Amino acid sequence: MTMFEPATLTAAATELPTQWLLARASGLLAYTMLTLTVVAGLTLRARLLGRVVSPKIVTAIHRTLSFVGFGALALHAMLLVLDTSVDVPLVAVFIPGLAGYRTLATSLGVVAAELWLLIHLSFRLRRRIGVARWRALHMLSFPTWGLAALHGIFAGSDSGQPWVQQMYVVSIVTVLFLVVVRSGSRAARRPGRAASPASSTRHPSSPSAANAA
Amino acid sequence: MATWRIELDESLCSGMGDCIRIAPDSIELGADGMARLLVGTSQDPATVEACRACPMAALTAWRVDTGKQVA
Repeated sequence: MTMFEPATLTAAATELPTQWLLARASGLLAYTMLTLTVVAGLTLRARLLGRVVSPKIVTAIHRTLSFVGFGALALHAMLLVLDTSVDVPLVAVFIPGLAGYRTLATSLGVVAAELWLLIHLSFRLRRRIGVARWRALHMLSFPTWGLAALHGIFAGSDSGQPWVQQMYVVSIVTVLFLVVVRSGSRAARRPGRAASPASSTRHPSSPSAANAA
Repeated sequence: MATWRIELDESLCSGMGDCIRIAPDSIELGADGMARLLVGTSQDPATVEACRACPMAALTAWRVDTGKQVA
């Protein structure tokens, strides 16, 4: 058995049933949304947009893209289970290694989906688990996106199409470029500015205020 | 000189730290990694800028004289 088995499509796939078309389209859409989510997150943390777009708006876009993308992902999984073109039983969309279609490449997608869900839901739990753990968990976004890219490239039945290949190249180059820019901006970050000459009133609830009082 | 009232919604803060880089005199990160206000009001425009820079919209600034939200 090779690492990525060749496609084993049934006759139904060659007849281009609606479910099979939608399953492929929703998979590509989910990957695109995940990529844009990562791009928005990196753009936010690298402060690439400066004052052009408010960080609040970029954050809202980041979270909305993730939410919409996960919807596309859920549709992708559901349609693959319902469709008869490939062998993907219901349990295989939750447990890696159980799909009959390109087992390893499909498993990468299952792991990526579960990590994506974990990262998305962790936002609401960040105070309970602690912000440091939440941020560490959020760093899993990069391997998650990488697994999704590998899944799409090796499991996607459209990966031979030039426009799909171009989409993967553009998305991978864009994310890697932004990771480099983000790393550069973090390295270049300087400590806070010197104390302001402007006056302030101490917040009554802050420890520093208590000390100052 | 304008004076702004600064508010922090702790349920939104995610400890990004953008605010303390802009206005370290007004805001600090606590031991839990979350922002903590050092001031209730400020006349420092940098504090308002820090509120604008918060990606989670956890920080807001209001003009004391007009009551209008500016960030």
